[in-house]
Amino acid sequence: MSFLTLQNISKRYGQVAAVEDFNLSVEKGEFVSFLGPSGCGKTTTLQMIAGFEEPTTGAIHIDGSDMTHVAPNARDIGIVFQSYALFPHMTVTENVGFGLEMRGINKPERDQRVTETLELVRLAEFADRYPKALSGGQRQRVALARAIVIKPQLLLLDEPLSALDAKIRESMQVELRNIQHTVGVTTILVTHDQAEAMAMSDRIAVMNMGRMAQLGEPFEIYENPGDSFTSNFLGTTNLFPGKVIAVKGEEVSVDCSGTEVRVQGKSQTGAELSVAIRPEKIGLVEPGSGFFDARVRTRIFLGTSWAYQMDSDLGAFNVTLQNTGHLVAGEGEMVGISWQADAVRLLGAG
Amino acid sequence: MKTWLPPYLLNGPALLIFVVMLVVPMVMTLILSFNSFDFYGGIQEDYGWHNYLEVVKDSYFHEIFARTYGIAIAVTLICIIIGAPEAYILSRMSKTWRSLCLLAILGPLLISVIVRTLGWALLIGNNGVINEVLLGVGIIETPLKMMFTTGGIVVALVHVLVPFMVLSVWTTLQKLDPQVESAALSLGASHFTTLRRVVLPQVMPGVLAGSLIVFALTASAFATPSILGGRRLKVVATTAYDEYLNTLNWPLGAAIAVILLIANVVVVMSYNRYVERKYAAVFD
Repeated sequence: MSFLTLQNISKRYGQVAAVEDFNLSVEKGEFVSFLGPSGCGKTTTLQMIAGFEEPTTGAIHIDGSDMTHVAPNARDIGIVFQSYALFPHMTVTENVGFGLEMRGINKPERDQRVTETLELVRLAEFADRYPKALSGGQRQRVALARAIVIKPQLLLLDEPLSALDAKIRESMQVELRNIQHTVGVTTILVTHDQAEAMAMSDRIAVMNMGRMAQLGEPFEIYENPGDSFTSNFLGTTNLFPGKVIAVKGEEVSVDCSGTEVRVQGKSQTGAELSVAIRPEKIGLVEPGSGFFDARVRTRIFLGTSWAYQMDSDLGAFNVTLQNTGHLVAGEGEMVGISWQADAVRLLGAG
Repeated sequence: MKTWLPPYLLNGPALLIFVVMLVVPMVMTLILSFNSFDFYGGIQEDYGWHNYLEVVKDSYFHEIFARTYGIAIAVTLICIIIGAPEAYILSRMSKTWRSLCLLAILGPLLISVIVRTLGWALLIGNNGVINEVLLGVGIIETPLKMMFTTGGIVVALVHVLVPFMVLSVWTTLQKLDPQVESAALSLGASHFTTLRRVVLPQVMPGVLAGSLIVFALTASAFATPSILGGRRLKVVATTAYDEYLNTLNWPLGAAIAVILLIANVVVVMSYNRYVERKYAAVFD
């Protein structure tokens, strides 16, 4: 049995279902992210694991024991809250030591563990400060230290980086991941930021409208999204709606607004679906030598890459090109569009 | 026009009101308190400390000051005990219930202090509702003495002043991050420990600010002690009033009023400084 299992978890508020039939198994030491837009049920699921909400149906097991109806203060779970929720009237040391104190650990051992953990999060010299005198990133690390010092069975991170600015957020992603590896604690991260989820997790559970849309390793679900929601939520995707006109073994021919596009996959003639391709997998070639031609509407320079918006018979779409130091197509020019055969996916109509 | 002038002009009307309505009477009271009084000649145009010395030396006044501050401390403590939990429960209520309860709590402030106190008199008098009921049911044989007692004054003042405590604590509670309680629970603290170690310390500034308001208002209260305390159970404010209107010894009344003012200002300011120093490092 896995370390953490959620079996058929549902949470309903009256008629409204916040979470519906959610199943998940997490192995010991694993880092799993719940990724989805606001209102998708990811926070509610976290609250149920933490014990602040009770599931309407279903069961939660941690390390083999049923935790479904256990009070939050008896679950041995470390939580980093979105607002950090530090105790403003306690110093950093007192904040971090609070959980140990509640566990009845004597002062010498408590002090030693607090010192060790503060060193781990590189806050040793701030031990006697109050939260008010710390920066956002430092408060975040105090919150993390407070959650891991108790050596919890499970670490829950509720949008822990959303209040930080972009630069600190990126360095904290790396730091958080390293600390999680060092400590080896099983971790659940809730986030709406797909880059954060991909950078930090072993596996991602993409959630939409209370249900799990897809579960898998970041690379796997980025490359093989199960539906158009996942495909668009993880990175961006160009979707061309069309109709299957012929199937030859593994090769499907799709009629997209009058242009024939060949895709590797399985389907039936006459099926309505979408051809999906990621902007970074499209190449620009001479007009006439690609699958079809398109006109550059806008071109934006982003430093490491160029972002193109294209107009074509198939509709508008986006292309991302690496900046190689050479100028490619300019605004208003006609270009040919091409891609590797295995870069295109078939997704259900939507 | 000079740039420094407009602010003064804009402040002018308010300044005028304060000077005429507050500063002038206060200065006149202060001057009056140094005059002396003669039963046949009235107020004498001389100056001296004799009124102050009389108050400081006479044990009659000691008792009145002790009673006043005793009542003030008791009312403050009871307001903390009732008001702080009340505010916490209020903050946990649903919106509809909260509005209803806030109305009930603020209700006393909407009624004139005299009317409200007379209401208490009807309730706690020897022939009042409480005694009639207790006598009728047979729990007691002679009426309980509640009117003209310190206890009666304290209860009525708590009723009036508890809203100030509730509002003050309520304001600090609204600044409290609701996730902080969840954080304490997740770290293994019980609900009671969370309240004691996490919530209470954070609302202490509100409790202390509320105490300041309640204490100052009780120490200078006049109407309630005057109606429920009667002629004999005096506090400082009613004593000053009696000196003015019954004994007609205005200078002595003025001296009592000045001492009350100075004592209140000293208590309030040192308390405030203590609170500010204590929490400067912790809260914004």
